[in-house]
Amino acid sequence: MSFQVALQLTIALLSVATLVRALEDWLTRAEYGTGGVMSAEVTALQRAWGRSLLSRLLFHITSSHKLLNLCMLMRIALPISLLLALSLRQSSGLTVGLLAANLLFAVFFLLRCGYGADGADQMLIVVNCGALLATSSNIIVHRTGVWFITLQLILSFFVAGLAKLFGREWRSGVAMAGILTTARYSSSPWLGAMLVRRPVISQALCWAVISVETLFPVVLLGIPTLTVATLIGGLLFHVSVAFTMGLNNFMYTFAAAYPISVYALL
Amino acid sequence: MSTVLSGVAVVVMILWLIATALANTPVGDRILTSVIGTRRIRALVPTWSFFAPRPVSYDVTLLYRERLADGECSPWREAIPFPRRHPIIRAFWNPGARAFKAVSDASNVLILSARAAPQPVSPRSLMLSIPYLLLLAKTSSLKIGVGVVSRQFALVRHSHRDARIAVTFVSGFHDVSTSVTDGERMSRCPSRLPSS
Repeated sequence: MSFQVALQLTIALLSVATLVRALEDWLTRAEYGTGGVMSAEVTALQRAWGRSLLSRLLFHITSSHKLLNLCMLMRIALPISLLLALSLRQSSGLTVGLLAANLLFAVFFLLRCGYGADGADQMLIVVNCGALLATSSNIIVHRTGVWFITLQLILSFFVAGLAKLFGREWRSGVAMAGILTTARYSSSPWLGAMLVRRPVISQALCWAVISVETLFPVVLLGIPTLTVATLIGGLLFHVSVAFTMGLNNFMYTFAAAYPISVYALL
Repeated sequence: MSTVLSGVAVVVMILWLIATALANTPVGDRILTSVIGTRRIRALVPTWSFFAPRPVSYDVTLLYRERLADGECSPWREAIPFPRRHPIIRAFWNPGARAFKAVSDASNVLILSARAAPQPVSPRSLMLSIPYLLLLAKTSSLKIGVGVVSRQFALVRHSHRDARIAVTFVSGFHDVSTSVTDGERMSRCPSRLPSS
């Protein structure tokens, strides 16, 4: 895969991921206002504010509901602009500007959000930042951007696998049945009930997840067939998590890391 | 100038990667938190240990009930009704998931704060904590019926696997009144100690 194709695919997937997340946030924006479970007025109190002008300004930026609404609207407008810029083959300068603005609003939203944020928000920032650097004409900066995304993707799998290996519930096989019997993380109560009835299947699934995640760094060995198989396995893992657990944002944001990683690793 | 900026970008990315690796170890996380200081900036360093080592095995639901003028209490109700969506739709579109994560995060922080606080736990210090105020803000903002004088919230843990429900936290009753604005109501809420 050429770099240009990989970069354009990553930016397109990043735009879709940002857009979906932003539209979901916009629909539930009441939760960020007064009386919401992520109320700006309350979360702004997480740190002690001074009386200096800078402190007052930062407090206003952190607690302002209007600014947050503006941020959400920008997080809708910017990915649409990025997709348009890609489809109309606009100058790379415009794409870089849009990526930088997108990164700024994504960081602001994560720092402002606090409660309710997850790994998908963090991956969104990782991919955005890496893609921005990858557009650089400076070869060192370009390579840093490409490998930043790739190594974070590898690290995400390896760390998750290793943490599961140290978890008693994961080794014994009860973890999958436990997760899939919750309402929040199970799209199908039938699946959870089946795993409770058949602990052998739950244990097999737990060990399959541990194996796929801990062995993911084999993509660094430079064996093309193994790398392709592992990357496909990783992508399918995100898709299956979206369908079984409803973690749709993880599918969108992590998928955006793959084109650049394919370029780096193959 | 561009060489300096390029150098800075490369160094920041390398430090970010090292911080990520460090943040995902038990000791490293403590070091990083002490170095970075604020919890918010720490959020920029990814934590990739999804559902591990201890996986989620229950749902956390925020409930509330009301005390009427005659002293009677209403039944407990869900503050954020769970959206039922087809699994295929949920795989692509799942708004509201963040609000449930926020309730779960607030619940975890609140319970950890209560456990870490010197015993006996001071109700006032808990009531002034961020997670308590967030949950109170949510339940206080819900529509107030005629004759309601105060409202109380609770956090319960449950799963499809277990018929039992575990009550993990119950707040005191907080005055609510239809004659005040949301903002005024919020500022009034923590002024009264819990009665239970």
